[in-house]
Amino acid sequence: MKYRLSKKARQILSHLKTTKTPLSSSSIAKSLALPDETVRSLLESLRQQKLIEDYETTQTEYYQLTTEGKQFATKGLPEIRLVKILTKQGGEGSVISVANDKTLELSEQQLALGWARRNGWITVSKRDGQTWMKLKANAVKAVKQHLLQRALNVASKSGRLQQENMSIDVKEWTAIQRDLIKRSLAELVTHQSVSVIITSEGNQALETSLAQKDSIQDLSPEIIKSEAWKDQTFLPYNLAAPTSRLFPGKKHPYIEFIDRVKRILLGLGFQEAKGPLVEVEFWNSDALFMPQDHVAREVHDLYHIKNPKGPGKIIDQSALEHVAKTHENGWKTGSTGWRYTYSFDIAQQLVLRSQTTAVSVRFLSKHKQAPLRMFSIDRNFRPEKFDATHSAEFLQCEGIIGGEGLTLRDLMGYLRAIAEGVGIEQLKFKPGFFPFTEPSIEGFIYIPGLGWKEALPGGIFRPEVTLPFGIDFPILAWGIGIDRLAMAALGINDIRELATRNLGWLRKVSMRF
Amino acid sequence: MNVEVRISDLLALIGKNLSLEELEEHLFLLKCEIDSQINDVVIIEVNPDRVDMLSTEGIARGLRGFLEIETGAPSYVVRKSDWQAIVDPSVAQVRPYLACGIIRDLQLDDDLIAEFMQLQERLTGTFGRNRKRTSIGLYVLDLITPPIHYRTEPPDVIKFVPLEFQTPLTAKQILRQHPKGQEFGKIIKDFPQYPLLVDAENQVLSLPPVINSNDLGRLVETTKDIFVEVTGTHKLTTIQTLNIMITALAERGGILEDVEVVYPKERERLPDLSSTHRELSIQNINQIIGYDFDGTTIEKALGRMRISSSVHEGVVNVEIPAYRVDILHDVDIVEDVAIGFGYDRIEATIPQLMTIGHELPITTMLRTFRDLMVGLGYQEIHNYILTNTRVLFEKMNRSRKAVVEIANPKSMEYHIMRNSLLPGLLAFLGENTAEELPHHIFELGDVVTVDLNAETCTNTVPYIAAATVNSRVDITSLKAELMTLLGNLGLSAKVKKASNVSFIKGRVANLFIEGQRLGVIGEIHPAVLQNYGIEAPCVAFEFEILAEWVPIMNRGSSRQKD
Repeated sequence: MKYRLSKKARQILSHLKTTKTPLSSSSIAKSLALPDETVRSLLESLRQQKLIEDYETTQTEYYQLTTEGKQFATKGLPEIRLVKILTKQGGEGSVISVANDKTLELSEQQLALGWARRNGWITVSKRDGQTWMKLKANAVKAVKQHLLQRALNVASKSGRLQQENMSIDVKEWTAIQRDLIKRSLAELVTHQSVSVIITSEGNQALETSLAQKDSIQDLSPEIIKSEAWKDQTFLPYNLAAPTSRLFPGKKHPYIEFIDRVKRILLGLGFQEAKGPLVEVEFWNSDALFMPQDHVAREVHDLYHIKNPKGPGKIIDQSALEHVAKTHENGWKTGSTGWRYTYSFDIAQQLVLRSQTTAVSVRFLSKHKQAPLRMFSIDRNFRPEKFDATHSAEFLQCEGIIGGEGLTLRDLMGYLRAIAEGVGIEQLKFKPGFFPFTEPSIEGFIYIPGLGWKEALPGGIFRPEVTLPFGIDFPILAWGIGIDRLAMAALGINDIRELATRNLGWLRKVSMRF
Repeated sequence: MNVEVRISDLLALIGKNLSLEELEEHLFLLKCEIDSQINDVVIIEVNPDRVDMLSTEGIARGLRGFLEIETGAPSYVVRKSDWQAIVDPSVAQVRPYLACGIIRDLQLDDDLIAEFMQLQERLTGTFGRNRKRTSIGLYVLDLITPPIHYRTEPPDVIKFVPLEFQTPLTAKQILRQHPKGQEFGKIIKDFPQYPLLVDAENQVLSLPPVINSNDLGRLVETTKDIFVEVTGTHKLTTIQTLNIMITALAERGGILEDVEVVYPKERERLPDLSSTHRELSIQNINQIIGYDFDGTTIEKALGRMRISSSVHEGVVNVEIPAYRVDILHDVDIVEDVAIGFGYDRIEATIPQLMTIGHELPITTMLRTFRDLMVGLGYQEIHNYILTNTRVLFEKMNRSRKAVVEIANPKSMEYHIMRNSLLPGLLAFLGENTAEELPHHIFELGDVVTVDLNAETCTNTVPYIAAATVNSRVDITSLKAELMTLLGNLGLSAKVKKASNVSFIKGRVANLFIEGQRLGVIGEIHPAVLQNYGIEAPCVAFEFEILAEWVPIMNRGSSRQKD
């Protein structure tokens, strides 16, 4: 076999030949001042041609700090900050006195207390209905020698953490590793590197290749014009060799998924609508016949707003009047109403929109002619801590269908059509409850491996919702658990990954869903 | 709302043996779900409208109808008693309403007592709006001497042993020290006098809605006769709460007796468990459901839902039991017809309805922006709108501006709404330094700005931002990309030298699109890079996208300006 080598491949082979030691790709890249990626792909091609061979694979494991780990490396672990605060406060403090010290955020206090107690630094007692924390004698010294904090500092300085750069024994190292992982302060990274040596074929190829000077490597406009190619051969390229990874511009898979659902709904005859993310309670809840003292409107279910203070405005004054009366006594809707005194002040209070249904009612207030079909896919907000299954910010997909003579059976038909549109085949219904629809439906979809899951809520808007806006034909309302569908399509099981912080994942993820 | 139920107990009340699967299937069709099961205990999720089903007794009552063991409205007999409860005018400002009843001859055990406590908690938690609207107390009847008095007294005069405590406390101490006082004390805290229930011998029954007396309010296995009391701020809800509580107790056997509640100007005998009547037409029912049901089908369906009905000449007369507090409108009866008929038996239909689907013109335009950015080699990212002042202002070295701020944040990481996309992009880049360079990323999404003249005092507006990080970056090639983007959208753009602390002096400009200043382009200042943890140079742009550009695009896409 004849070997045709590129200039860079030749460079690498002769470097391996002269140094006479096994070298890793990164050390070759460094010595030859070539990009890592280029060297790696050339080595792969040389390896395939058996001109070099692997000498040794070394695997190193180390810890890399997570965002939280990095934060604590700079700010200090919450329990350490707690001890410092308590020291400042004379060795003892209450939940409130500690909260007054700005170095420990309120959200971190519980965590700090727990770890400080577990580490045996403080004692906790209840007095006058308050929790008090008292430093133990050894605490200040223990904090100074706290290994976990030292590990974070070392990791933050050198970018990686291994037992070697800590000078501690195995037992201590095991404990640190456990804490790092348990508290999600660091993750374990495995790095593999292979060293290579030149083979006898490689030596041979190098010699042959140095002898060939006349083959064309890169075809150029000059060569084409001068017809020099007629007298020369072309250096062959090994197209079977693996190529380097490219990073094209790509759409975000989650947004792309949403966009596809939008197109499906357009095809089903729905028109798109959008509404403001900051809402007045009138649109967010009142217009949906949710009484103003409803539990779902309290602070644990609705984000209220400190700034701007409001009040907002309700432009449709007649709708406001009708909704108020409907709440109080049913107005002309045939309902008993909720039988309380409606507050116009509450109606004008600002909140973060908690349900896309607010968009549906806003739409109805402006589109009162049958037939109609509308959808909206947009963000909503509820006071939740972010974890694998909860998100304070989430997308909802909702829509309405309005027309004379529409029925509960029609709603079931539409829910099936929409479900099929987005690829759901197995669907069953149970009666459901939503404050703004009656009758209500809960559509359950079958997800292999997970079983039946609630995913398609629906219902017919109550007369108490539609009549105040002068709509006297039935409005079928439906929703899709769009985040759950997106997670299933993208193979994600942590809802936070929909807003991933990981560029590597975005570069790798398949757009086929 | 979850209810904990012992399966053996539930089946005994239903009076029929069912497998767990059968139970699950029936509950599913009756609006409930089995959430989880451990041995004999299941957690059943009940929809929040059916507060009468927040107990084993209520669920059994519903299932007995659904399984056709006993259909139609249950009848409860209430005997007359000579007990009175006298409401003093002083409670009018604090918690004006009272409803009471008696049940005798119950067989209690610890499980049953726990069950009653559960119903009491669940009922006052939802229907009672966390006890603000109504709260419930149960007492050992034998220990009380009638008549009962409901009045107010100063907080430091009220003194009794609260449940779970051994020693007497004043009302003031209860609010501070008792767990229930800490939880519910806020409801009465600001009144000069607190509501109080005492008997004829001045023994305290309860400090509603906070806590009952440990002496009179602790039920034990030997208790046979119970006094039930509900106080509240809303008359109808107070009466309905009593109806739900006392009919649930009555499902365990026993004899109901009434109590005369004496207000200054009126008096009523409670509980009043007579059904309410309602009339609606068969036509109305059929119009909503979509079937041609006849009278018999409707009667049977409603009977399974424990609603009695009779049909005459197309009109359905229904009798709704006193515990059904969710019926506000005829549509609520229609839903019961559908549930009683069986959601699993309803066949879906699809009517012809002509509408044309179209997306918002701005959505089309935003998609074009995204397509062009992808063509320029940028990876799209998606960030939350909720953020914090550190990311949005401090790391940018920007001074704080008015943004939407949440009054009740769950975490200080997410307590304001972004008014700019660029900080989120830089934070993202700072977290991806280990990823191979170059980084080209963009985001297109809503930001929220404060505007006190707007309907909701804010505007939700789309922005776009892009950033490049590489070992060497070049502001002129980024500008070329930006101009290409805008040019392809038929938009004219100019940049003018500006000063901006987040960028390197002399390498930043304001961006004017169609004559309006809408954004910025420049090279990020190294101090800002350090704040975000970005280790290589970075150039970026950001601008607001105006809805008014839509017509410009529609006039023709071939038009390019420079």
